[in-house]
Amino acid sequence: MADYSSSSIPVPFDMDRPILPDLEANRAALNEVLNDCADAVLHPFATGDGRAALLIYICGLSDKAQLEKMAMEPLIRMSSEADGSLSAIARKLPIADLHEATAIRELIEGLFVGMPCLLVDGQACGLIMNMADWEKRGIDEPMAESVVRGPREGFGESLDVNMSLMRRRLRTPDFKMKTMTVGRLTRTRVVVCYIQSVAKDSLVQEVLSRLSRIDTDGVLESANIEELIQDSTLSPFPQLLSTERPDVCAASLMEGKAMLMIEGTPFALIAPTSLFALLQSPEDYYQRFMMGTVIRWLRYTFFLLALLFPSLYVAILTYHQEMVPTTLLLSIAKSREDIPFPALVEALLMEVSFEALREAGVRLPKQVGSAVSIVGALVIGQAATAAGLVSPPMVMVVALTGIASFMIPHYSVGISVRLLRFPVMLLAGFLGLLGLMLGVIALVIHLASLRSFGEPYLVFFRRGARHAWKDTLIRAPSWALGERPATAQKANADRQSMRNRPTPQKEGG
Amino acid sequence: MIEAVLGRVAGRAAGILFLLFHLHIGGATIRDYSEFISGNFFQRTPILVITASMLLVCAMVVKSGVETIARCAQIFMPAVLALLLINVVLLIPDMDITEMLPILGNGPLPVVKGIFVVQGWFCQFVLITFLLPYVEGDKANRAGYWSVAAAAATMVLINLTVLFLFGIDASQFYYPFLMASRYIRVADFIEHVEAMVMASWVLGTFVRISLFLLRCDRGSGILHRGQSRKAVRLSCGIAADRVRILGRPQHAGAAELYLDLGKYVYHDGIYCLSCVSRLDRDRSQRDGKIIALLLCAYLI
Amino acid sequence: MKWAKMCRILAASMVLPLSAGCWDRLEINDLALVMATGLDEAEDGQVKLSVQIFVPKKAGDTPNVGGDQASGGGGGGSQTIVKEATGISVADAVSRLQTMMSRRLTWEHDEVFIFGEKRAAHGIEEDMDYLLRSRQTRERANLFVSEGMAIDALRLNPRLERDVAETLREMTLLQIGPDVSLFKLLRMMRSAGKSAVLPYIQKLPSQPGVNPDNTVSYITGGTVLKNGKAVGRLNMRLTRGLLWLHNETKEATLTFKPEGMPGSVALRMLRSKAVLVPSIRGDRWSVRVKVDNEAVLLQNTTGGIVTNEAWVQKIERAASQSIRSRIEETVEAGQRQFNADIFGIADLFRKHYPKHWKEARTNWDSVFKEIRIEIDVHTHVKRPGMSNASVPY
Repeated sequence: MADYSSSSIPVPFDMDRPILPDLEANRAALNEVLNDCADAVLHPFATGDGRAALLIYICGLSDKAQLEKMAMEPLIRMSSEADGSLSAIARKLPIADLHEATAIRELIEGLFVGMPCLLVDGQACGLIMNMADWEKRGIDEPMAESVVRGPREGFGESLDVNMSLMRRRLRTPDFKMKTMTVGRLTRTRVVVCYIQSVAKDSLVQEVLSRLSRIDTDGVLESANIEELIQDSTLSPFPQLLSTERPDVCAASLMEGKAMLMIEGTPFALIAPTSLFALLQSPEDYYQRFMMGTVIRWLRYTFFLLALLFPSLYVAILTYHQEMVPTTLLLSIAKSREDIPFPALVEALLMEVSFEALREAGVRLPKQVGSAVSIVGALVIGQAATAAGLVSPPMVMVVALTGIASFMIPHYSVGISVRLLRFPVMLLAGFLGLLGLMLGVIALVIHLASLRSFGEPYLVFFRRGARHAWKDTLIRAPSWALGERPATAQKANADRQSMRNRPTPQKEGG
Repeated sequence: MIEAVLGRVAGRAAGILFLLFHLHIGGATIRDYSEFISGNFFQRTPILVITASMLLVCAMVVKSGVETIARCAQIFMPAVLALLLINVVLLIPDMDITEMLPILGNGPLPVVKGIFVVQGWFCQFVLITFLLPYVEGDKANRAGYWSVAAAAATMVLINLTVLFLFGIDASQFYYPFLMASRYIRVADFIEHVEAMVMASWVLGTFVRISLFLLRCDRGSGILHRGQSRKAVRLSCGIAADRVRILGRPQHAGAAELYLDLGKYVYHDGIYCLSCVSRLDRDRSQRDGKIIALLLCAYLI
Repeated sequence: MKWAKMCRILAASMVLPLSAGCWDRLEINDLALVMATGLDEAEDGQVKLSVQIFVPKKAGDTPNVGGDQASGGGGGGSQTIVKEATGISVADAVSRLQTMMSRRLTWEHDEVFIFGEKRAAHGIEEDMDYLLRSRQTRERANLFVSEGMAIDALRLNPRLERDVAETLREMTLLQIGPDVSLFKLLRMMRSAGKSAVLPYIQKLPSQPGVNPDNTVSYITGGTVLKNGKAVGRLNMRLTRGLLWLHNETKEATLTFKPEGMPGSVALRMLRSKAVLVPSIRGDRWSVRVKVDNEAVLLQNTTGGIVTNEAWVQKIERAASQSIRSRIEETVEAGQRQFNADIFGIADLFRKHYPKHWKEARTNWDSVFKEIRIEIDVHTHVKRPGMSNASVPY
């Protein structure tokens, strides 16, 4: 197991001390390090040939039954050997994954990953056995990204399970997984996955180098890592895609992207990403291509709507009343007659309450949550209208905007859009449609200058112009997507044979 | 580069002239845009706000680099095209092709005169040559041809639309295409949609002005050998100044024209001075001083 | 260092919008939406401007019974107010009117402009200058001339539509009368003929027992304008003839009595197309009008059998003759009675014979008088309707 550990535990103890042949000395050292660690167990026993041995493990992290059966038992029953070295012992033990360590550091690090270690008196090395097993959540359907058709497996908190989920999908030795440890206190394991023949070398190197530069106390969630390795922290848009679904990850890997799995969180990160990738849902690919295209277009429209609809409403009603068809204008005028607020203030009020409601709804327990959010929204809207605080068209606008923001498949982009709504609203209230357009222009400028791990964020008309729009503007049938996108190596651009189009035999020969 | 060709002094002079030429055109473009937006949509808003907002956004994009401008243009171009086409398509029921007649009723001379006017527009295409260093490979040629063809096609389309709609009375309006957009009424529902034309103006002007600012930025880079972000702001300020200078009614008399030129020379003098003084003063100080100078000149 | 600067810039940019006050901001409740405008002649050549303003009261509010200018009817009655002001020009009147209003007048949704009879006779060119130059007035708005005073037309209270403007607009869409938008009028007045026809509206007599104001104005004919001044009226028949020439006959129903047959026949025009072809032979200017119609039989009281080929042809000839005579009457009125080129023939010659037109444009009136207009009408009865029987049963 390669180890790219980058930082040291700030403990005033020299971890690089070697393991001494004197068991008592080792034991003293370990006691010092593991002082007050109630779950660390140092179990002395005697091997079959009379030597003292010490078994150290963290209870709760290791499989105790296995430990007793596979490690202790053979050792206790062991008879005197000619070669009493640890390596000889190791060969005799029925454990499939073990290795030797020579420094205390390795022992400790192995210990805290659930690998018990064995020290034998007289040997200047220890044996680290992989018997990691702990209570974990089973493989569940991903909660934030469910689909109608498609696999219902989602990542869990256990890195090994996640790795197995990925391996089950990419059964090729080309699919590489490199491990790193990040975080001084948390010592979180991070796995960088990529397909060697497809992903660009520069990308993988970049990811690894950025990860290795992280020097922080702890990493609890992939978001922590995301913040530390992304290109632009000030941008409201995420530059890494976070997902719970292994099939999404596998698809991205096949396009030449790299993936990060972090222990302790089901959310994996995919780099690089683009705006269009963030607006895609796996559902697009599991339904028929026409539905995929239409739904995709609907999603783009509603993405724009979520961003711009309240601003459009405010701008048109306040500055460009001539744009509204006369009949509609008259009815809006009637409904706005008794409203005390100007359109902008009304819009801000409603939008802010809606956001508060939605955020509150996330925190509530499941049984109460859905009822409160639906009823709350309806009742609040109705009551506000009846009280004469807001006009009915405004409630409609806010409701539609809310629905539109739910259409965005990835929560991170959804949140950005919801937040960006407000400055655009202010601009629209200040300068009407001109303000709105300037806001849009500013946004586009920002997106156009944004890069995610070297790939432009708005990759649209890149190499293989025809390919790009096949997957962004429409969802071309899979037999038509013969080329990999620009994120992959240029040399390996073909991903399938061009003869994949189904041509069923006609009846009657 | 120009210096290499013409020698130091002449090169600098040519550089300055080039820059001034650009500033003039750029200022005129901004002026046109501000007048259009202000006169037709935002009558009570001070022109400075409209100008400044556009310049701000353009300065932002120039700061981000050429690639950003290109990407933005890539995104906005279909939008502008779509808006244009929607306008044209919605007007088809009201168009009358016989308005094209009589063809060459007054001989070819008026057509030739018209060509000269349009020529002025197309001449500006030569300015995209400054983008050549940023284009990789052989694409420049084809891109150039396609751009000119597309611009020509768009102009033809718009002019024909206006002609078929308004006939010879199109000259009654200052902004015929805007009037055409105001004329749309489809199914009693789609009407009063002239904001589409405003949108296409804003987006198109944005690209134009940002390219112009880029030229100024790079161009002034030649003069003082090193680009600075302040240079962009400087160009903004100057361009805004131009707006003020040209902020005379459209039909200015000759006397006013001289006054214009005078101010023009005066402002350019300030700029030249600033260029010269740039050489020997502390960098941050001098930029502040230049801006202060410009503000004073502006207020006068 | 950088943060401090950014904070300063941010603070400065925050102050700007708050202090400025959003100059062009107009809440809807601060707008007085003008739905229709009337322009009448006041003493000394002044213009009396009257506007019909929409009053956004919620349904269920008791309408304002006082105020002689409020026209609120019973529940669901109109929600409009008519206000007037007089000035030496339209712009002057507008500014005076604004002084009487608590909200800012806006003409952006005004699709109807009505000129009073006397104003039309005085001349509408001055008023048109305001209408064309002002940013708010729509070029697509329709123009009408009303019998008597325009302000009386505005005070009416239609029971079917929302207000007078809507009524007139919808009627125009049905092509009952000529559809003359502001821009179209400009074009007609700038052509060599300098003539135009505006629809003429009169008040429909209200039902007995009903508030006399609860009625509409409807189109009863046309007003001929020459050089911007009204020179005469066309009755409905002549106006329809004009519409035939202009291809604006969507809802035409032709009823005529064919010769030699009892009863009458009514045909409904499905499609009619008029093509005007100018020609100049030597000194003779002529225009050939070819009208092709497709019609459906609507009512047949002659007893003829629709499957009878000869009968159908007779009907078609009679229909063509009927249409032809209408158009000829209109042409007669235009050429002889008013000497006004209301057909747009000047433009026709401008397009096809530019050189001749250039010479003739200065004295178009005299040239126009001499133009021979030949009319050729064809009608084709396509379908006999739903019934196969014929009167008497």
